[in-house]
Amino acid sequence: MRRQPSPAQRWLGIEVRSRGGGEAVLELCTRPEMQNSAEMVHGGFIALLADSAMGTAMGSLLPDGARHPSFDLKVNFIAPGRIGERLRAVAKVIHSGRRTGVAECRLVGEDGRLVATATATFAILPPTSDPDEA
Amino acid sequence: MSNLELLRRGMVGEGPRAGWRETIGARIAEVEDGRVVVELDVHAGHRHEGGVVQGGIITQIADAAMGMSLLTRQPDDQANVTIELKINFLRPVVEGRLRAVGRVVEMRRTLLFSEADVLDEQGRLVARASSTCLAVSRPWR
Repeated sequence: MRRQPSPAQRWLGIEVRSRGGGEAVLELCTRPEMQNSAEMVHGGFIALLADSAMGTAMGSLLPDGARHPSFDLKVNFIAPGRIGERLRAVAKVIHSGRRTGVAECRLVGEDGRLVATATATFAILPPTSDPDEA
Repeated sequence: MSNLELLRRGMVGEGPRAGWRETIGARIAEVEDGRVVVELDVHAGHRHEGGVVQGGIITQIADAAMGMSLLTRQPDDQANVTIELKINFLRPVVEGRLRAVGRVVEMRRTLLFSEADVLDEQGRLVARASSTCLAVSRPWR
């Protein structure tokens, strides 16, 4: 199933390359507006791409309508992202339980160098429940 | 003594003393380039009041496996110290042999990145950790 991208994903230009079986690949073409004062890609965009990729991977294991908000996100920034390059996030679910899930992600630059690694923890919520109950 | 040799001596109980390993009963089980396995046979002394292994014990073997995996790739006059660590506990452990498998993610000049899987005796993933370590000059010879 192909889901509609979220407004945030559309605005940033995040593209879902693949999704299924607890894995997802998302890409982001970085733009000059994403530059920080050190002239590299601001880490927030890298965190967002990672979170988005891991959320997509998690969602691929759940029934339609189930929600899976991340409640923990950890990112290691390993090498700078360059403005103008396409960053690729490869995410994989490493634990899918009844109430929580854990995913990991690797972000690489166009030349294949490792830019960041991340892990996230998700609450698994049935379609109708209140997210505050998590 | 090279870093790799140092770890291998630790594996057979030689080399510098590691008091923490004696305290909890952990041992270095495997050492290779970029990967180290630390094992722990769980006993009642590792459990908290809830009857399962306390998370700090699991964190301890994961941290050790990660730091040692980085050590295998460092020059022989260097070592590392952990400056940041994150862990997810995925399932409770009551008994059996735990294996913390540490591996190198990336080595930079001053910052070193690693990950560890902690597995139970059935090979199930019990915890997943990642850490950042700082390269330091080795305080011993």
